[in-house]
Amino acid sequence: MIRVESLHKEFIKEERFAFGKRRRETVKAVDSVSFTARDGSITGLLGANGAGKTTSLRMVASLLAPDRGEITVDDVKVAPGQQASLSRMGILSDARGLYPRLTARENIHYYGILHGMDRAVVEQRTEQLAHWLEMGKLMERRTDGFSQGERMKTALARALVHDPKNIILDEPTNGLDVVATRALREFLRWLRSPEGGSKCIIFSTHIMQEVERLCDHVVIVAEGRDVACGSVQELLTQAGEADFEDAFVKLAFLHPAAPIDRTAS
Amino acid sequence: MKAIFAIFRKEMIDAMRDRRTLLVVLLSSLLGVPLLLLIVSEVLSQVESQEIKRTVVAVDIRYAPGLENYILRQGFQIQPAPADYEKKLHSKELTQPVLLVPKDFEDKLSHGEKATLEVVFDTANTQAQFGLRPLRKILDGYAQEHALMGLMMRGVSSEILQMVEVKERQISRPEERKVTITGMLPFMLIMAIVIGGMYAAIDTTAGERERGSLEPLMMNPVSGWQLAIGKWGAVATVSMTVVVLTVLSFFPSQWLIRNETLRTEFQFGSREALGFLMVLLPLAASLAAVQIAVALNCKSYKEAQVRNQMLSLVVSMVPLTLTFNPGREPGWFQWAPVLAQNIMMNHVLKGEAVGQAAIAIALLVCTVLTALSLSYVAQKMRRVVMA
Repeated sequence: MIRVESLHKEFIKEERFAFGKRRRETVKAVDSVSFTARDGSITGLLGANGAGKTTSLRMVASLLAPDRGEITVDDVKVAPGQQASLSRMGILSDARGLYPRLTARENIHYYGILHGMDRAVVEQRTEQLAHWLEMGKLMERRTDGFSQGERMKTALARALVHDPKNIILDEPTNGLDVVATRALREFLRWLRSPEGGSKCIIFSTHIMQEVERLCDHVVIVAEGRDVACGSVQELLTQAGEADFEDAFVKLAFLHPAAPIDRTAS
Repeated sequence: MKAIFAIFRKEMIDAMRDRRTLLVVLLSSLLGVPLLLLIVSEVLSQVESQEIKRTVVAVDIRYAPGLENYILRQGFQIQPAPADYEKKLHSKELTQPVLLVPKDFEDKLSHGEKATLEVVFDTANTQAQFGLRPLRKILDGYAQEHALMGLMMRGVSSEILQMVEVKERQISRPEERKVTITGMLPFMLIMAIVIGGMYAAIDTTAGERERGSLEPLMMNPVSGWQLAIGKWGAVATVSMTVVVLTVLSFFPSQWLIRNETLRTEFQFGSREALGFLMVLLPLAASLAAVQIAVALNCKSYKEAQVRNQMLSLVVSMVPLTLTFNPGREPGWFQWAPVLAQNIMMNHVLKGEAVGQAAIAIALLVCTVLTALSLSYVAQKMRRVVMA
């Protein structure tokens, strides 16, 4: 389970025009985001580009220090740069970042060993993931010439090699075709199920369809704030729309008069 | 420990599979020294062959029978110059300067007038340049002889012209070998170290960041120190391998030397090789750490390359300090990295023993340098991604 409470993050953008002339601008990337992601459920972070999804997830992954707010993963507080919470999470970041000169298998193994697993366990786990993600032939190839889909599969297997309870995916379907997207969706559903380990899955996206088809719980993020949350059905009702896209636009951009009720989550 | 080894192993595999970079590094380290020695030996041979060539190329030597006689007496032969000697000097077909004798040479000389001889050479023709000195020596000799004869005819003793006699006395110890051209070698070795480790150092830091693999790497429960030591281990291994290979390349290089002078000057045995390794391996390891530190917070491969090249420039400039005060070695030189190693290598080449204190100091300096760089890398490693 991942709990995020009133997260804040500001960036200071410094622009230089000429010698000595500087303009400093503070950009509020995340301005109070709170949500809870439960075990055995898929939570979607839905928002337009630049809404603050990636920044929020980077803070959860302790790659970024929040200015204010608190993150707990399975009741362990996340501190930036600290490693205790990292072993509980499997993170597929925006940058897939595979090593091009290593094979898919070597890429996955490396992370397994870094997570402190024994060699035998890593090998067994790698085989398992390769089977689930149907990447048999890929394993011995260098990742240099991989397609987007193959890259994503390898990066996902690498993120899950230590069998984490919590899985964070940042725009996992970016650049994937229909077949690959469907396969990923199937895999995530399986991970959510008790056979798959009842994982707690968070993923961010800006694609409505993904959310509609996959998420048990949706958090809409706009301008660095969580503006609405609930199941797809609840959000439709809240917005009074039949179409989810319309509901999203209404909730995200035409701010509700009523204050946000956060206790509902 | 397991994590450090895993990082080290991965970085080594990564470096070994980067074929192109590896090839460049290996070629430059393996070929540099043999090539340098080959060139130096060729040039030396040319200089020496000019000195023993004992021929003078001249136009119209028949107008100067006195000079002709003198040249022949010195054991030199006279060759008539080809008609198109200027062209041939340009095209380097002619490898000797050409002496021009004017028609009225003997005439003027016998009348006590000043006579002019012309020597034609082309500065672009290096070989002909080398022949200039011996030719001048002969002509000066002839001029002096002629002058002395004139004085004697007037009843003046030739002793007057040579009241001061200069004698040379060699006091250098016999085991101290001459180091002139081989003084270039330490510089070559240090350049090999810097180039050898540079690409690996950039690849593990800025390269990884540019490819976007540094961020996912930080999502593993490993500390900055583990990453720093693992990565440094790999880069230092590459650097030290380059050192070993370069030093080993000295042995086959010796066979390429065909010049006797250089061969006696450059005597490289296993004792010298061990001395070099003892001096250079710690330096290679610590420079690897510095290179990683320099490349660490660069956003791209290119930026890191520029910064590392600046480092290389500084490192290669350091030995120049020696040329400003040649021969003198103030105490603080021992404490200056690169400079200390340079001096120690020169001692080894001269066949002298390197003091234990000097080695200990160099080792201490290298250790401190490594520790400082690595602690900087360890502190900064995680923060680099957060920025």
